Amino acid sequence: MVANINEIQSAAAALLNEGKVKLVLGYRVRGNDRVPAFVTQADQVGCLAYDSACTQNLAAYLRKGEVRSRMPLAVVARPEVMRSLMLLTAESQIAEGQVTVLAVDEQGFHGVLDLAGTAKLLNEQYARIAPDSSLMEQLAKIEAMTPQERSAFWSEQFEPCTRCYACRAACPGCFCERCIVEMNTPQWISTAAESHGNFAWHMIRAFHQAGRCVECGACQDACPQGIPLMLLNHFIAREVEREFDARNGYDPQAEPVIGSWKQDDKQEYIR
Amino acid sequence: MARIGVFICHCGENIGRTVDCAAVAQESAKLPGVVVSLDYKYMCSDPGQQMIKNAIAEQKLTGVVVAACSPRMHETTFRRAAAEAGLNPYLLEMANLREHCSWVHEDRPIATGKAVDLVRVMVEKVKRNRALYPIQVNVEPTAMVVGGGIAGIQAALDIAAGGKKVILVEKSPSIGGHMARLSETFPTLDCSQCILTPRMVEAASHPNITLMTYSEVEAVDGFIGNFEVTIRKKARYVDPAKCTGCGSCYTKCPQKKIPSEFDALLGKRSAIYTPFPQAVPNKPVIDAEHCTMLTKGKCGVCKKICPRDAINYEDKDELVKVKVGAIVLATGFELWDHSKYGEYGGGRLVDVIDGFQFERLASASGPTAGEIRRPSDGQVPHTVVFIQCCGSRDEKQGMAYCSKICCMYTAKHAMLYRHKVHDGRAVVFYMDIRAAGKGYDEFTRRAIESDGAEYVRGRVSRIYRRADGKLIVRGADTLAGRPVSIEADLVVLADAVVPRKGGEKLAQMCGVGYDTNGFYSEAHPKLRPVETAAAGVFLAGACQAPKDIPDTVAQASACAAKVLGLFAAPKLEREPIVARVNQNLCVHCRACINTCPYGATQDREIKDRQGNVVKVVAEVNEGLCQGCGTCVAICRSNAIDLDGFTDEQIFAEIATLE
Repeated sequence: MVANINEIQSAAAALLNEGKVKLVLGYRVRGNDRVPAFVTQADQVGCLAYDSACTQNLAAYLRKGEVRSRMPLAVVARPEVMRSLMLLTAESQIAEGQVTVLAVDEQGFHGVLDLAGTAKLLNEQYARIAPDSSLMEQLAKIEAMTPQERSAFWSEQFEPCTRCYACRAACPGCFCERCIVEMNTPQWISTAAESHGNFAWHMIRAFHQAGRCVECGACQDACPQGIPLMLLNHFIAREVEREFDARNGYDPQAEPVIGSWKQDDKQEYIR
Repeated sequence: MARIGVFICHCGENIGRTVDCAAVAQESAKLPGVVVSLDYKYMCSDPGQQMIKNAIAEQKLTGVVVAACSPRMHETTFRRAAAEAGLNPYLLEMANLREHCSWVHEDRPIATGKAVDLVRVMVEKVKRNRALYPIQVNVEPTAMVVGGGIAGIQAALDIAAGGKKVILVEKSPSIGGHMARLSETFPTLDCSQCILTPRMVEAASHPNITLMTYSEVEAVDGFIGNFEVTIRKKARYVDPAKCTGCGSCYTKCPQKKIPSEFDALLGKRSAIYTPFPQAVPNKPVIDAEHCTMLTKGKCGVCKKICPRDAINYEDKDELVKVKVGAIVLATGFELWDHSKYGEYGGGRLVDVIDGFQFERLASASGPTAGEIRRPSDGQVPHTVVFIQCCGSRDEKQGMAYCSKICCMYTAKHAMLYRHKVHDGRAVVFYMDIRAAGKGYDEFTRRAIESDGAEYVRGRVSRIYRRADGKLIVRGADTLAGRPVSIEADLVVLADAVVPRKGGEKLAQMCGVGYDTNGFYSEAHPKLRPVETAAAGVFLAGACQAPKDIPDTVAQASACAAKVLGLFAAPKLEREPIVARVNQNLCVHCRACINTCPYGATQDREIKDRQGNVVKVVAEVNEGLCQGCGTCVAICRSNAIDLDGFTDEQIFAEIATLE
């Protein structure tokens, strides 16, 4: 539990009072749940809360028309959310001046930042995230599998998927106007909740996240079937790190890892 | 309803031997949508094309599949035939039954089955084809010629004579290039400057030619018909508008000991200088590296002496942007640096010189006023050894090629020397004599038979300087089969012709390829020798390969013909195989903009009637797009499709194979 919630509230009130933002995007408590709070008046800031249970990635709202129409806005952001903001900046979805960051982490509140300041904070404070050893073990196990074993493993994981697309809705990186799964001339991915369609959907989504996923965990948290989506995302993120020397969501000017090339790219990947 | 015609070609025996074409025609006739299916011995022949045209007219075809050779071979032929019959040419597709089937299979039933599959795939595609129309691109009828040597001058003059504007960019202070430095030219021995300077003057005074000397190309953007070029005009420190070329400045300049590049470092020049008396434009520049006013702030003599107040020590480089429709690269060559040959003195023996240095010694305008005097002590040499193939045809030095001009100019050098020093001895070491050209062999024979040059077939293994100052040239006479040793006073090396240093950078700017030696690559070695892989960029002269003056002039004129052909029509037609963005689906993540290798994808603001920006999306510039499809693959939203190869078409092709 973060003790200094008052600081977040007063910072939010100041931003609204000074007219610097029209909306503060944060969290509030509803029963045992933490739900998003959309605060437009300074006298409503009292509802804002923050603790370790606030896992939803609020950056996912920044592409919604109702939210975009209230820019400039402020968003309560932990490091993963800040990384999402960097991704959205790099992909020209938000720009400096549109979004102010109320930076938080498990230690507390770190002040009001613009996007440039957020980039600086991210690279100074959160550049090194110690790898979770149990996760790395799991990833190593998958890596050691034969292609057939791997295919069977993932097919099994995706089997329970009901194609509710909660993972897509929760993800700040999924901002297409129309998702590939909804295209029908031609239809690339079967929309039926069966093994072929499920496999195609999750794999294509994972590839669309390659070099982009900031590993916030929102998709897995949102999944009602408990599919270990983050295992796949972590797997690809580590691969991107190894092959391209790139960590997603740290550089607001980053070019896409897949789809851009440099003279000093490691060549092993395409051999 | 689709009404598709299928036409199977036997290609003589090429397809017919392995594929049962009549059976393929029968099977194809059963495919849904196919209303006519015929086979014929040679579809590309006149009667074959007539079959297609008749079927289009009589059967009211909405699409045609020609199952024959590779589309690279005859797609244009058949599409033209379709267009003549009134069908949009892009409603015709080819199934490749030759390269993809008959040439790579032996078993007739299996090959025939595959041929049916290939036809079926294309029938499914062509059903989804839509009419496409050539893209019209504006052409800026101005050409840029890079390099002011004889190649660039000739190309510029010919383009200008055709009534089009030319910008001639030259990096040194004067046009003229290497040809201005030569004494005489083979095989007629006419004075090089005498035949060149009228062309230089004509280029300078031609109303259609803009000279940009002392300038370099900094950046090239755009595409055929619409290049945007940034040119760096280097600081001259002399205002060419005020300067009359009177020459007071360089006669009074106290810095007079600077080795002259024009004289191949044998002569001297001042810090403010024109490279040679006939320079065009005849306006001096200040060499900022050697001028004491610019380096130390002391002197200022030229400014004091200049009667027109043309000197400006504050002058700065200036970047100029120009729009041109075509580019001619005529950057020429330089000589290989023979100091890499340790056995020939490694560049330390001052009396071992290169071909250009000999040209300047022989030239009436040169540092010795045309007398052959060796650099070390100014004495007239009594024995001169000429060594051909210095670096050329030497794979160890990375140059496997023949420099082409050395046999001829060495014969000329030997001749000139003998004409000037009657009792002198001229010895030429050669590997072969390559004198293919009009009057060339007669010329080398004349050097040997009338002018007394001694030709020794063999290689020189070592040159060293004896204590008395004589150069000892040791080698082998491979015809006599014995070693030879010659006491020489001067040695002239025929260094290999290599491309200009830094030429790769210009090639990369223009999208032109170059070979391992750095020579620019033509589009086809036989049929497109002046075009390059970059549309609208042409090659003239020795930047493409070693060449003598007549070949260079011919190629330069060929470039001019290509440029004038390009400029003849006000608009350029391009294949409409380009990517297209669905602006409703585009979320402007800019992945395509980052990924496009041609810079063809760009931002586009969509505005409402009041002019407010509603949305920003990606847009494809049809002029730049090469239809490679990289953007289609990278777009997560599937918002980009490639005309002629749409997702829907390719999906249908694959689906029909299941």
